[in-house]
Amino acid sequence: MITTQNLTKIFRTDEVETTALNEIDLTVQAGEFVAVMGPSGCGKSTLLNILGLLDSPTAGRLELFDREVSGYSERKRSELRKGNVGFVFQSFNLIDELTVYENVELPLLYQRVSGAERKRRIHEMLERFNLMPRQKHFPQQLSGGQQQRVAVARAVVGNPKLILADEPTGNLDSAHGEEVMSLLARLNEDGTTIIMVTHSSSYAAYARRVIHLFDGVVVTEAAGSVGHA
Amino acid sequence: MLRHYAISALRHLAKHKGHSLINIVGLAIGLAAAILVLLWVRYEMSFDRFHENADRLYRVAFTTEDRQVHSAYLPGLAGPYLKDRYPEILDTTRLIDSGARKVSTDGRAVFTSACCVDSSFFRMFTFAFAQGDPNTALNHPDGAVISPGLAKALFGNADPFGEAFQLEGEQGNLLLRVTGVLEPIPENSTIRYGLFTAFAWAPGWAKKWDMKGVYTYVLLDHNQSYREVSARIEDVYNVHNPGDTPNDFYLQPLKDVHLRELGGGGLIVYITLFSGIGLAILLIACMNFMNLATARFSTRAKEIGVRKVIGATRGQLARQFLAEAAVQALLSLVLALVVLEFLLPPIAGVFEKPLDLEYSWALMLQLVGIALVVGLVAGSYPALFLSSFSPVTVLSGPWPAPTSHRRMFRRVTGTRIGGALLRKLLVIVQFSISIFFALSILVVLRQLNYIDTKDLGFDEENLVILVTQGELFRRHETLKRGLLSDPAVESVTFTANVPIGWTSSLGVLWAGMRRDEIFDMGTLMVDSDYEKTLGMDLVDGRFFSEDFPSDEWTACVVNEAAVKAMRMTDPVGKEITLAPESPYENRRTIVGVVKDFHNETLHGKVRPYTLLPATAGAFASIRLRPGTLPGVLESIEQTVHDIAPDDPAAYWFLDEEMDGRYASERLTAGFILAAALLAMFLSCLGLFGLSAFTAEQHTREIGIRKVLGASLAGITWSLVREHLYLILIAGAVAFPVGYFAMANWLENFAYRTGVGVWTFVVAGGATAAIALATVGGQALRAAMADPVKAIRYE
Repeated sequence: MITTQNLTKIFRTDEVETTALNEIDLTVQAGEFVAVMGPSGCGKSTLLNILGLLDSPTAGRLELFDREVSGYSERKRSELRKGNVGFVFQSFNLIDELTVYENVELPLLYQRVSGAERKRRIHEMLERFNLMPRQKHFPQQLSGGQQQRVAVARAVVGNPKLILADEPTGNLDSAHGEEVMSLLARLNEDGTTIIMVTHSSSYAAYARRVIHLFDGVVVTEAAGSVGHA
Repeated sequence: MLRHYAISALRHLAKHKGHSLINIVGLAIGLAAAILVLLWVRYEMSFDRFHENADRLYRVAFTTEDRQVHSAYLPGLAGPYLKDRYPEILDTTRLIDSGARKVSTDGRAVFTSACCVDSSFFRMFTFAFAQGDPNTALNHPDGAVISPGLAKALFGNADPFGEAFQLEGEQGNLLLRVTGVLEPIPENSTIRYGLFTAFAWAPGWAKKWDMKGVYTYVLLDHNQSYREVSARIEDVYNVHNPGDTPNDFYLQPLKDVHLRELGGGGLIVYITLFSGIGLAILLIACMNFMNLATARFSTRAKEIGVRKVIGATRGQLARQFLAEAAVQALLSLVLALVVLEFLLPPIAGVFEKPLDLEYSWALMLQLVGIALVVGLVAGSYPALFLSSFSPVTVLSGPWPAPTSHRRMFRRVTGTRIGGALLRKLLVIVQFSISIFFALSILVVLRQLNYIDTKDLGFDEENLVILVTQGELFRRHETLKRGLLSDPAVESVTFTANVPIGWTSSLGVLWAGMRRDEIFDMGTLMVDSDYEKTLGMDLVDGRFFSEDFPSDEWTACVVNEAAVKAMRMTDPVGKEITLAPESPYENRRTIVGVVKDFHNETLHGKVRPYTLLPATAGAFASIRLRPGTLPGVLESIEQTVHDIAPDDPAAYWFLDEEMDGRYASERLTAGFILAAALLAMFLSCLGLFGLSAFTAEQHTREIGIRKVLGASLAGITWSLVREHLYLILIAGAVAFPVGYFAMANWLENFAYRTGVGVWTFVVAGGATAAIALATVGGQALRAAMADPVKAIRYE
């Protein structure tokens, strides 16, 4: 599903030039669960941004969903992203002014899904992630674990083929962290491709493959241990 | 989707109450000002539109070939001729203003404004009748249509219909019968009289072709172009007056009569001016909105990034922000209406116009429409700006938290300029407008002060003007004796028309005149006490006097302007001929020259004027000894009453009347003052919000500087400095524009002050001081903040 060739990203300011990604080659098959690990500042998030079409590479090729997308304009990237890619962030990034229901609804609104269909899908999500009793609450009223569940629900409500998770358990305690990881594992079992950035090797073990990055370069790739139940 | 936008907008507003409040209040003020102007413009433009035939009614006017002179005073025979001769003119009606006339029944007498009209008048114009039939009311010569006010004054609560009353005239009294009682005439009517009589009573001169003084209105057939008809009737006067200077007839739409003066100008100038000012205020409010919304971009950057990640296109985001702006605009509208509910009654009172918020569908739709447009305009730039953010900022990258607003801006938008520059530009524009208004009001006030204090060549204070018609006219000698018997009365003079003004003019011929030189000399007939009573100065010769009985037929006194125009060196003793080659021609010898006095407003230079002797007149000017008011008024009224018991003494004070001649300047001054204050307030409101925000943004930088040893004053100054530059630039822009505009306006006055250097100093200085006070408070607060708190990482 995803292939990169010599993928490079250089950030330039007036004063400083930083190479975040240095000629990365990697492939991710449909249905895979891949973890990306590495120390702070090694380019993990940058890689995720580019794979998720949030940013474009400075050089190199990127093939996503069988399309050559490295030269795509922002508009085209946005179009391709809509409905196909879901994001989960470390700091949840829910919209504070919207209720749980409305947060989960948002991607469907932007995709112009009709009212009845929207309702059906949101209810399905809320049921699945055990959020029904909380649907009218605002993010400030939820615990970290609950917020992340909402974020995952939001990421998934559009039935995306690919989910990109940037340190999804970073702000959670171990119990909730495990909870979120099993959610992701179950999604992967249902066929969704997942690429996850993480610091923790124990959470990385949920993935089938682990890519290690250091200073913008792939250092090693290893098979993960068998997924936890 | 719209529902989502609305809900998001409202919740966002509630979350940031302070910022929302500044925005909404600012927009509300702008809207209130704009709505106020709108209501006034609507009122002024509604004049005379209540007539059924309003679209097809026109007033006939004429202009000279050089288009310099315009007038709506026509010969009396023009009306019937136009109707007979031109089939496209369905009907005509004439109106002669008879001025203030005395009407009486047994026991009651009152003055009312009267006119003579054709019987077609109430068929063409739609004045509602409480009693009587508009189609026939004036068919009979002794019929009369009266206003409800006159009905009450003459007949009290009794039914006035069919009742008889007397109308006092030059040739004796007329007996008339009430054949119609009107409903109250609407405020927005240019035609407004207490008494309408039949045209049969028009004076003799109104039934000729060579004397002008009759208003004439025509009703055109459907689908007639009034311009074409104007072309066709152009020569009507000239055909009937072949020897005279050519006068071209033309049609003026009824709807324009109130708004436009015939030669150009008129109320429409003020409507345009005030509309422009109202728009400027609204613009400033919109700019505030834009500035605040874009300055606070960093608070929305995360939300925008998230929404884009989730799938929002730029268009969907832009629409969201436009919806937010529209919601704020609608809330502002509600606030504006609430404010106006309280402010309209006193404002309407001051300007004496019936301004009122009628909650009709039409008006409400207009207002909602305006609010939405304002919201869209104000929200357009923020929408475009905010929706352009790249979503990359959302994900926690390898970058440390930005230390500078500018850097974050660049990171978020990927551009180097745009936000900050445009914001500065908006502030400069706002303050330029404010400084311009401040300059304008200072100059206008200066000129008004000049007008108030200028020596007019006569003494306008303590002078009472009394109407002396009818019995008072006939027994004028008794009246004068009676008035002078009160020691509080210094002197009395009679004049044929108002003592200070330009009411009639005649052509003049003098020795040494060139062939092509024509000018009109203003004339007034006055008695020999005129110079003394009005307090004028003679520069040569003498004034009229009873010691010289031949004065009545041979003497005249001219002013210095006349002497100059006639290029005379020793004017006393020279002869001039007034109204040459006309039935009124008479030769006069100049016996004296009076110092130029301003009988017209200071707009124009003093024109050549001549005084002619008379023994009685329609007006008496009474000079009172200072300090004798108000007691002396009672004595005057008593004297009048003794001679003419039925006459209510009609009098006024000359100085008040003269003040009234500058009513439109004072109105404009009041308006510009309000505009200046509003513009300044709004600009400072915007600046307040901006500076509060930038101070907040700089907290970290300030904290670091304090730790390194910067002083409070130094930090405050560095925050203030940036804004000070903007004000200076605004001044640099506004000063030349203001000077040019004001010098231009001052040229409307032949007698005027200069723009003045102090004006710029005060306007610029005051603005800078106010702006600095606004910004300084914020800066000081930020500078005093605890540095430790500032530097700590969130």
